[in-house]
Amino acid sequence: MTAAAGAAPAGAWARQGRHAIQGSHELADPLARWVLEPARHAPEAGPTKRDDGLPIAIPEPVLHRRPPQRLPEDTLCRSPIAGVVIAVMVAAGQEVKCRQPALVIEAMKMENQVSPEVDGVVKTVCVAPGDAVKAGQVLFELA
Amino acid sequence: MEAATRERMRELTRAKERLQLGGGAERLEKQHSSGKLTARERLALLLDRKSFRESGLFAKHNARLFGMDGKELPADGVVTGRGRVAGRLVHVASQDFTVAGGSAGEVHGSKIADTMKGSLKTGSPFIFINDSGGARVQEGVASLAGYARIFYQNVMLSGVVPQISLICGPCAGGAAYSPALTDFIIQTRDAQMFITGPSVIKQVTGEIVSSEDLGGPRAQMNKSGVAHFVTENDVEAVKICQRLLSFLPSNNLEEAPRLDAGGTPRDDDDLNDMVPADPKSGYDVKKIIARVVDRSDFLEVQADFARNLVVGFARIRGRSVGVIANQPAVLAGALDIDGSDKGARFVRFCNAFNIPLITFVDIPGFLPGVDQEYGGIIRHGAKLLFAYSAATVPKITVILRKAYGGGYIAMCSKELGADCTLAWPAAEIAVMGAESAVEVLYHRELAAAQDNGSRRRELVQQFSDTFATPYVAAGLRLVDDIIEPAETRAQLAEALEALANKRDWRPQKKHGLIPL
Repeated sequence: MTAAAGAAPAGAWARQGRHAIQGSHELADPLARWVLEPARHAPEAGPTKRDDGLPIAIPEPVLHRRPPQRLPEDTLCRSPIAGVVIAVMVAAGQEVKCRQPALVIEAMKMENQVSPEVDGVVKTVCVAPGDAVKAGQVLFELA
Repeated sequence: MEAATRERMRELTRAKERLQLGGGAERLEKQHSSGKLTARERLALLLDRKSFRESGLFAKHNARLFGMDGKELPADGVVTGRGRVAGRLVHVASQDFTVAGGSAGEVHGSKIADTMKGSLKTGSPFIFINDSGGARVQEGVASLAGYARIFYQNVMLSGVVPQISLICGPCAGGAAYSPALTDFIIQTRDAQMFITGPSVIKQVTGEIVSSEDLGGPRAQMNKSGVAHFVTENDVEAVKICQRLLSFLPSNNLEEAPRLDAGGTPRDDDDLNDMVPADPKSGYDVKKIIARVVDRSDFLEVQADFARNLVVGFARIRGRSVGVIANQPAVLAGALDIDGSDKGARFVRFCNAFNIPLITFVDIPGFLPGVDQEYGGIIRHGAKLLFAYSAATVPKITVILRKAYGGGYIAMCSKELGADCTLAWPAAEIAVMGAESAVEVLYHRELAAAQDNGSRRRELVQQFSDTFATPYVAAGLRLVDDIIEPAETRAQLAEALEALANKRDWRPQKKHGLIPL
């Protein structure tokens, strides 16, 4: 590799760019992004494992996965937009996943799906189809 | 070798080894057990093997008060120097939490500022890995001077070389303003950023909040939009940084690295069915982006902030592009305050660094609402108009479906200087929706008419037949061409090729006044 800044031939950059950087982020599923499966790009743990292409050993606690962070207000699912509820797909007691479509609100001449920001169990549903809701109004609550 | 010389060499090696241990083996171990890498490990991961050249390992602080006299703080708590990422020069600073909690003293700050000057001289990106308890209180106002030097250099570098901040630990108080002045913030799960911490908030307002809830990645991504990328750990943060750099040029005079163009783009018939025929249903615009860009490789920026607008980097036939797209699945794809800010900032970054802009439009308009108006949607929406109009890089717009009212203009319309405007056949380009338009135009007639319903339906139909198509706009030459969705990638590739040498003249001025 040449020493001067920007003097590396484009071919060399392209090869390096593809293999060193992109290679580890090769996407099989068109929509797969780092944010969905971050662990895929993380190296294996191990005190002396130096042959996996990483210059250092990664201690186990660094790779330890934790449950997603929750904010106190995550339990309240609010309407992002003013409109009319046209469908409610969840009921009290039901388990829901983060970003799972839970309600449909018609607004801006569109059917807008509303979903919780975190996984959880529905405690109460505060609206029914036909209700007009304001932006920020609580639609359902998670336990 | 003479004995004295050999002894000198040994002494040098010993000194370097001691200083490179930072706060000592015990503290390094503690850093690991709390789930973090050390300052030097982060650099080792980020930079090409053996490419790191440190400067300032032997730096000493000049504090004498409060027990600081004679206290050794290796490298004054920050590892600085230069190295290479995928063969390209970068300058780096990495705060060492094991040395006095990574606290920023005057020398610490000056070391970082000097490294930044190196970036500016050589036209190479600056990467700042933050992990610091804050200002070094024992040094008093001198430590603030150190911070201020960093901030000043942040502004000098802004728009000249890309600046990327990794937040891998605490980043509180004034320290948070250096990342804020840089182009991208990558925050790990273990990091918190805030100006005033939980204890001060409790004292002043009585509110009780944990530091993670206050300044953790969820808060700074989803709520505030301060962070651009959120990662689970340090390793991922470094990977994101490398991947981001791969899309960017080293400075504002260079082009982004171009990868292999690959073969001639083929038509992608699946694209013809990506937009639902029913104008009421939403869809995920990222699926369209993924089909249009190289290898479906799309690095989304601020993925969880203002999700009604999608922005990020991708490549088309090997060329880096910035993609901005309305997301019909969220808020109907309408532009709001946060979406406008997010888009405007991204457009300005791309323009500063010669990255062409590709805009996918499916927007019903700006989001109506009292809170939007009170929040200043006029001022914020204007940022997007400003940023697009001021951008001189190639600007290509593809209207997928709706393009209504002010939203149509704001999403890089022809008149904001788009070099190439394409529309899919289902595009509806109009000043407002048919129902509202009929209400405005025929208000009196409809109020007077007995059979309100059927007359209204007739008028609405008439209006949509006339305006809810791309043909009127194409007739006015506001759209250059109407294309089959399947050929989008090929069209974009050709347009980028043709516009590669685009030149655009602007009046001389000190700087424009983007409505902040």
